[in-house]
Amino acid sequence: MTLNELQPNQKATIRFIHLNENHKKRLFCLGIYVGATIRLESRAPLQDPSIYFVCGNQVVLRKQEASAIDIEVEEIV
Amino acid sequence: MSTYRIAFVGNPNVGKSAWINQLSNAEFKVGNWPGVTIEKKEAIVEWEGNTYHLIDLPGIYALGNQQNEERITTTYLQETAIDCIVNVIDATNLSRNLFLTLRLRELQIPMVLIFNFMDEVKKYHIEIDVESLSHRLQVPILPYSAFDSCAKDIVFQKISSYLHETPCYLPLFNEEDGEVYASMCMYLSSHLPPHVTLKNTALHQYLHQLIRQEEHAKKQYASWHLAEDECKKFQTHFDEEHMQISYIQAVNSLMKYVKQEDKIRYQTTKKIDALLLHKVFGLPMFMIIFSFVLFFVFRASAPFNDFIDFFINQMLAKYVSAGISFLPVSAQGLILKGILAGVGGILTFVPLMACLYLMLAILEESGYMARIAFLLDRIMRPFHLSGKSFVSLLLGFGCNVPAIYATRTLDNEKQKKLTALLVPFMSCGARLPVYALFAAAFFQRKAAWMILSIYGIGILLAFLLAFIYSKMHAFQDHEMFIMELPPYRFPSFKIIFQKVKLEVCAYVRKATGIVLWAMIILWGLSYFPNGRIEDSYIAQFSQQTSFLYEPLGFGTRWEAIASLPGSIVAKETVVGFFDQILLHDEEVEYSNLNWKEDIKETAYAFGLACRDSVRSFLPFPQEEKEEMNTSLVSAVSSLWTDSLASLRAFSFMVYVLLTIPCIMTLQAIYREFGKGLCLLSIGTMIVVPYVVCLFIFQFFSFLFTK
Repeated sequence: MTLNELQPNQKATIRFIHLNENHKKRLFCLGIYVGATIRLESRAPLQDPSIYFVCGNQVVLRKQEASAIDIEVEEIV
Repeated sequence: MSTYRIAFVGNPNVGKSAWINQLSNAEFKVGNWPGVTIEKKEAIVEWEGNTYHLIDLPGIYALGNQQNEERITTTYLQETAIDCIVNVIDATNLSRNLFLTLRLRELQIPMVLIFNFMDEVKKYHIEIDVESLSHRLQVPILPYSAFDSCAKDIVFQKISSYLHETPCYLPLFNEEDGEVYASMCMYLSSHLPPHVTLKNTALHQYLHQLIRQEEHAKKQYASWHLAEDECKKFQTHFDEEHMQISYIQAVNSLMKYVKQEDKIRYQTTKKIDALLLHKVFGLPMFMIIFSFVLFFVFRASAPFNDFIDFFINQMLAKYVSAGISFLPVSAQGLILKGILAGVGGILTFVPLMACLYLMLAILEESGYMARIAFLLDRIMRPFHLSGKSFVSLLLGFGCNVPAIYATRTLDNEKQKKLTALLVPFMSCGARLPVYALFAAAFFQRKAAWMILSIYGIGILLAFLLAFIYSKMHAFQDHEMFIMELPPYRFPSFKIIFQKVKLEVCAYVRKATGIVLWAMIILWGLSYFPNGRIEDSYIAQFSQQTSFLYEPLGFGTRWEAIASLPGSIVAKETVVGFFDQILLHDEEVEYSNLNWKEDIKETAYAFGLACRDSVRSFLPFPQEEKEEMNTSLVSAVSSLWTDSLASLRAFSFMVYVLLTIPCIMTLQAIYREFGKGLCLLSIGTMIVVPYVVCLFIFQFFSFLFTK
């Protein structure tokens, strides 16, 4: 399953990131790395981008990048 | 007495600038929009006999050279002799902020941490064991908010006492990594050639350079004739992935000293966002907020604009003309008509600028600006732009120059260039006076609608151009979009006030600098050779070129064309020009110099302005207010009197909107992107207004005559 398939308020653990090194570094800086817990907060009115809650922060990601991040769903709140 | 250099480093949006503001009373640009500090800024402070240079570096998440901000900050930290780093940290968000702290420690520069937003920490019931954290990190931690009144002395005391120490920051590795690191440490210190001395600090600094595989460190290693495989082993152990994990582990181990419920921080924010980012109401809410901003800027400022006009053109002019009556007529003309009227015309719009910057500052400080980028990202994407570029364009409504500089916050070069090309189509505050004058003269009650439609045309054309340009390969891009949404914060009055002051001062400086010279030159061109404006150089030139502009509607009056050269210097000169050229034969009699009466009258007028400004917000019906500078409005309204007069005026307004932005904007584009893009921008600004005005005038005059 990839990050863009996450439902609002679902929590997941990041398993793999299919992006180049530079992009991975930028994601790491905002707390998005393999093993991190991430939760979907909400989507924009036009469905894209989405707000994720990760590392104590709200971070905005587009579908395009989110679909390159493999996740494992943890629990449904 | 000594001089010290203190670098302020931290994540974006943690309040670095607010801290330097507080420490120096200097006015830095600060904002709740990640990436506001795009250039390195400096403030110089004297404290207890020593001089401190406080350097405000762009906010970064990591050291590196990927992003513009990262490059600026990293290069500065590596290549400049810095006496102390002040790492400002958002204490409500330690888990993210501490990553950078760990990286900064590796530089082995004396460091002080400031835990900002401590008031919010209390509010969110976050418990931080500051002492243990400080002990573990080996750095002093100052838990204060930038607005604590006692903070300044404490921070300076701490910094000054820490300056002369040479601390040695050990990496926070786990046991296994620690052993590998220590053995390399041992190997180096025992096998170094005798002439090389690597003391503690330098040794650790060097080891981290090896870990990051920096070229010069490798070369140095080779020059010492040490065992290659030791270094290889060390570097492969600490490869990039491993270092990421070790940072995560280190931060996790530090977070043991923090008790925090993550969700609380965004609790209020989420409630507000439930409405402002709502699936259905989000975009309408944005439009409502944006309309309110425009409404506030135009309506609330109007009475003050009138007041300043009254003060300069009636009160001040009276006294000045009495004071200089001994001068020859041409010199009197220069002072009254050239300088005073010109600058007066510009100053009249200071209240409007202040209102505009006030609103922009509130949007930035509160955190809504970042939300705008989020809401509109999808709309901007087809043009290969991101939501961030929309914010840049939005700033363009204030002034194109900061908007161009704000493109630095965008993620990549192509987006930056495209956004910079579109910014001049955003009608800046300086263009508004021109619309206001012409709308008042030709559209009376519909003036506000006409002005709004001008803004609309600018936005529409920007989108159209973005669409055209985005078909060109040079502006296509497929970069990643990632952005942090800061929690909403109640804007601090102090910072907003400083921001508005800074912007207004810049505006006034512009008016008294470049614009003043332009006004004097324009006055000269319209006065010489013989003092009659009808025969002046500018009239001759405009009369000869007016045929070019006739198809656009406004070419029938040379005055309209003559005002355009000056508008390249700054758009607001158009108003001053009409003021000069149309009211030239009106000899005002300044007879009774009764200063007591005049002061009373001025105070009364000011009171009236305050009342009207407040009243413009109240729902009850208002009396029709007095129009701005009536004599100028009526003079302008007599420019065209035929049946197509209002269309000609509208065409002129559109031309002013689209033509070459002020010289300051061009200079900003040139400085940021070089000659090529600047020329492309100029070319666009010459072709587009001509084509658009030609279309508008020909199309509508065809409709009207039918």
